Amino acid sequence: MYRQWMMGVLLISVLLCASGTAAYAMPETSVENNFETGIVDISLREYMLNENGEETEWVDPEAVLPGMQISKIPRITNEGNSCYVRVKLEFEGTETVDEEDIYGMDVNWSRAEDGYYYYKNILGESDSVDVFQGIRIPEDLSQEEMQGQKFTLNIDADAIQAANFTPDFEAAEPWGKVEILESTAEEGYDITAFKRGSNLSLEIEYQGSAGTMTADPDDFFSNIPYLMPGDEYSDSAVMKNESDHDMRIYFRSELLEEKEILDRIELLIEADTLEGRRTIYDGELCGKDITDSICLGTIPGGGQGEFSFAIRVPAELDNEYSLEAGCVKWIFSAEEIIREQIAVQTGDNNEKLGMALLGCGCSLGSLAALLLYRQRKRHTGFGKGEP
Amino acid sequence: MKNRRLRKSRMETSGNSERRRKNRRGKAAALLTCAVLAGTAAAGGISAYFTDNDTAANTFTVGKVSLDLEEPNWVPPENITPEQEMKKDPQILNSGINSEFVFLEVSVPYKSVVTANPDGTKNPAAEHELFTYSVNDGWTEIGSGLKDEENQTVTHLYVFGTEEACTALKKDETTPTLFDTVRFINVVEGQGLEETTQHIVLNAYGIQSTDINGGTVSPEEVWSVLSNQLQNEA
Repeated sequence: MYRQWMMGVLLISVLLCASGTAAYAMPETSVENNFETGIVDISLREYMLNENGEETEWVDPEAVLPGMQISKIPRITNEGNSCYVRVKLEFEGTETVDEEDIYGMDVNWSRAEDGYYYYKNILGESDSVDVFQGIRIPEDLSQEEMQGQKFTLNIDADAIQAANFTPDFEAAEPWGKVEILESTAEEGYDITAFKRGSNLSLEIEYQGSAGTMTADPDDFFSNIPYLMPGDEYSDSAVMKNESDHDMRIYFRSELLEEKEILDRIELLIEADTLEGRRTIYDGELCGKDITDSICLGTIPGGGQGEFSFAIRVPAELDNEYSLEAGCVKWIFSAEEIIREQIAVQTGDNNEKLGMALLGCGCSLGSLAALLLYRQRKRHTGFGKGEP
Repeated sequence: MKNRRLRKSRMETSGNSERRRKNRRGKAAALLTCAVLAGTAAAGGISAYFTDNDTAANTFTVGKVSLDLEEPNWVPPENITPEQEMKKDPQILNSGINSEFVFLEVSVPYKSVVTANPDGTKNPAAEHELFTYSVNDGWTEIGSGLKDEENQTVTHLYVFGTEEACTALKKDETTPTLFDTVRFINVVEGQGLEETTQHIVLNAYGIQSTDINGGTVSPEEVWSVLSNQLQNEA
């Protein structure tokens, strides 16, 4: 009898704990925001026209003579994202053959004071441009000095992203002071598979009656294409409260994978709610400072607010950050505010109720367990006893 | 997707956040400035961005035009007599790399002498080249000989080819002989030729067979370019 009574108490305490926990939990939804960075990647290959006028691969000529017209077509192909290109031409081992002996250079190439030939147009994805068509060996090439000797032509081609970069073709150095590095590309990436921006509407919705929250789409970076240094993108989501009561909406960030690029890209978050428009966060995309829930504000029942964000990619990022991909998770949760006329209302009503229930449940449960234990001990310890 | 800049607004959080917000606003302003600068070529400092580089190095080997004049069967004779036929077989070997057009100049001494006919009758004194020869196929004379009165020689110019076109002589190839023998003319004795030494002077020339004046093969034109170059080098 005693035992049964104690079990009943235990059961009630469990129920109280459960209800306390239920009153304490908030509906939530999350989005996983994926981004990737682009790349600048060019290839320089050389061709020539054979006797039939057909294009073949370039072969170093073995017996050039004065007056000879040598077909030579250096071609730059863009394997990555849109870029500007330039070339430097250097002859070694000869004073007689020089840049003036080159023919067939398109008018859109222009020579700057720094010695480079700059191509004025942007080279789009998968586009190619020929540097020139050939070299005419001067007729005054000295037989005495050069007969049987060799000279070389070195072609040095550079490329720089076209996004957020505008050359000044009138300047002595049209690209300014830039550091040119080789791309980090390995074979096998597909430029056509790069992320392109969509045109979706972003939404967070609290369905009051069902007590659930949804976010659509499940990636709030869906409208953001691949990123290049200097890029800035912003977007916003409507926050809808479909319930009859006001609700507070909370936000936190979760890092799924540590990546250095998440420390370099900057993130700004603003929220527009009943409390007005305010900045929620201004820092790194990794969001290490916002892993605990932050209150965005209050949205009235049946009303809506706005969650806005902007990301900025520093222009100082170099090739180390190209062809990178990353993801950051954002979690939104809601707390419905139920106001009663006679009770003193505070913002933490639900929370206090939950705590109280939990506290009762735990106390009762502990007392029942202790009594049960003592009862059992008495029974086994003296070999006699009553239930 | 919208692209408007976010508006900065009044802040309603605690003091620490306030300070951090002010720092970030200053940082944001600086960052905005950097973003503007990023859109133009940097005036100072080195910018990063995504870049790439590729290179090509080409080697051009210059050709070689060279020749050797050979006379495989020529032995300078002594005590030659009228109408004596001697072996003399000039030919040109291309000892270079590139194909070439070749010319041979033959300078033959001439003298005003009395010659005899096969039947023994004599001809009046007249200027004669002292040696005669028969030009082989493959060679063509350009012009009809240049007389040098001071040196008493006549110089004949022959091209390996036809009147219309030079024949390209490839690497390691040899031309046919210009002639195979020379004959001393039937000069009557007592003309002052006894115990003299007579010379036939041969000069061989070669020039690249391609890209002369855009690719001409005309013997006159090619010789004109070649002789000008020889004069300039002299």
